[in-house]
Amino acid sequence: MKRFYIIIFTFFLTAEIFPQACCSAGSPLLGSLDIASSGDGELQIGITYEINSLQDVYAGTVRLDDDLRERTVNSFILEANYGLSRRISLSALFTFVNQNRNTSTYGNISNSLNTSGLSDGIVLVKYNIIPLTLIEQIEFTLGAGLKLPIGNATLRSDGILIPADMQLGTGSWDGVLWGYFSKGFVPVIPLNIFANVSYGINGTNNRFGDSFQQGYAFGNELYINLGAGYRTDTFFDFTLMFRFRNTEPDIFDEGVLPNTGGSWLYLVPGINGKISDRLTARLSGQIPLYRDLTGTQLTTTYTASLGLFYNINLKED
Amino acid sequence: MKLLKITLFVLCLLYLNSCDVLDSSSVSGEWLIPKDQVFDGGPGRDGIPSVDSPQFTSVNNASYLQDNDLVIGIKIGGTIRAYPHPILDWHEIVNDDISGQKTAITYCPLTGSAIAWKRQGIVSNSTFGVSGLLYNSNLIPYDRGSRSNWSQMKLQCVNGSLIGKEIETSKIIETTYKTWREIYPTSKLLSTNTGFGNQYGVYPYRDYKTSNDLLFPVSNEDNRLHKKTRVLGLIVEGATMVFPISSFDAGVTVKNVSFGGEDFVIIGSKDKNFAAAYKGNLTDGALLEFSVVENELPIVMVDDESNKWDIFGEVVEGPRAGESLEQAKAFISYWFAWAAFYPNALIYE
Repeated sequence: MKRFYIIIFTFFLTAEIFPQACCSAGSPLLGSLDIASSGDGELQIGITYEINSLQDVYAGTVRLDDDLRERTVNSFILEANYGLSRRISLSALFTFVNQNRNTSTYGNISNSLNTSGLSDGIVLVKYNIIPLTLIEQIEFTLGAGLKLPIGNATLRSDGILIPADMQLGTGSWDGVLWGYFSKGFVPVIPLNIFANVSYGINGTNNRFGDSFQQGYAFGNELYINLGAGYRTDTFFDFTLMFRFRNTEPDIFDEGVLPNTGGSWLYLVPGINGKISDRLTARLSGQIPLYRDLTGTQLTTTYTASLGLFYNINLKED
Repeated sequence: MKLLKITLFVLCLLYLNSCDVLDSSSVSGEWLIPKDQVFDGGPGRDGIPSVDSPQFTSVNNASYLQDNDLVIGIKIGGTIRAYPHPILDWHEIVNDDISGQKTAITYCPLTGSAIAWKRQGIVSNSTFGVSGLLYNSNLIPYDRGSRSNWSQMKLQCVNGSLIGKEIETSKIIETTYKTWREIYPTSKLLSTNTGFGNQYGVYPYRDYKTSNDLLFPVSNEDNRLHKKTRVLGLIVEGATMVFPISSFDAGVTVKNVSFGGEDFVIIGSKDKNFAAAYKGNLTDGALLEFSVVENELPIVMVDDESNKWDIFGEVVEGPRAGESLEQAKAFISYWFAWAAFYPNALIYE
């Protein structure tokens, strides 16, 4: 019974973050750090499919009347979390992306570029400063890790280097800082609130090759999520979250690149279904509420994702 | 254990499916420029839409333009038109028909280079579009007839069935909006009614015009001048000489220059922000000596036969009225771009 509660709480308190991809190397990594922490011996494996449709063109906060181009990013995210002890857990996340850029201007002739393959990954160590208890219902966890440049960042189309934001990976080793706080109110009300912060400190790649010494770095990225989860006695639980995302402009050869970076605020509703004690499903969406982009950029119109998560305690089972 | 096997299997599947790249645009075949230095700029082919049905308005009817904004002026037959940089920053190419001459006005915001060329004879007067590719940060237009790729600053087709074909240019004058409308107050200005809803009052490249930063690597760097110094570059048999516009006098400057065994007359003004180069010899072989005429724009010079010449190198008063100087192989760009395309350029002092 205790294990059941832990599983429910683990899922309930952590089903708040879902993948995000934007105009930087397709792979929805930093926003995909889904699971707060795992109990001792607990293994959680999840696989999520996400579609990110980018059709809106913004200049600053103004939406432009521009329907010439669109991008679609399909992602499969495989994540695993394992609790080494009561306080320390490991997370690993790998992604597979398929992204398509399409323009149609002249004579309605469509021009497209498609890339697909294994994208970058993240490994993270988390330390549970305040472990979750049924009485206090407070959890506070900090983590740090690395983003691994697994995805190809120098893909060429018929010999020509394609843009950085259509590459499968960023080509750089990046640092990741992560923090999570939650407070539950069961049994007064089956509600919990949570806050989550992720920060990516991006390194520099060598995407233009050895002929050129100038490096390219994606801008550092910050996610702040604030939300609440509501558990019902039915098959479904619900989450609602505000997500703030800020990215600094990309850097090339120590110079700031125009039309990169900006701030976004999203509303993220989600619904979770308990298929069994160990298996849960999650359906989620992301609706942009506010966008303030540097220069002019194509940006997310909506995202939707569907995930399956399997929990098992290897020490007890 | 079973779970671990499943995980490893999925990871293997993901890895095996990596790296599938497809592009419907045609870039195959031989290139006259290093293909590994041709980069996809990001928007894709026609992602930056050319203006194919340009409309025009009164030159004074452009409240979004500042006095110092640059325009590309052209005079063909009796038609005088100007194309503002703030519109071309968003479109890069205007396919126009000027007094029956089908012309492509091309402008690359990253290299600051404007070149007008004749579309006649290029696959049924084909229009040009923006390929989305860049070489040395410079625009690579493609013609929609043969889908060949052209290098703007190399002035030739560099890939496709028309490879090697050279561009036949038309005379243009880039100057400030204020100067242009003072010189040609009845001329027409490209309208913002392009069919696209862009914000023409907004410069899309941040501080790029003045910073020392680039967005893409270039094949050669030369730090003798600030990267974004606007220079008039002159090409003679592969040798090049540049004239920084800032080196001209505040008023009009006229220089009679010999370079590469040929004679040229160079005109320019620092304050009015224009420069142009014409061949010094007339079609009858006469070589005139030009001197400056101040405060009579569009007239900029007078020769030793008392002919007065305008900014387009045409005689507007004098015994040779109606004659004109042949344009030199020359255009304006940022210094970094000129140095990348034409290394070891001489800087006129």
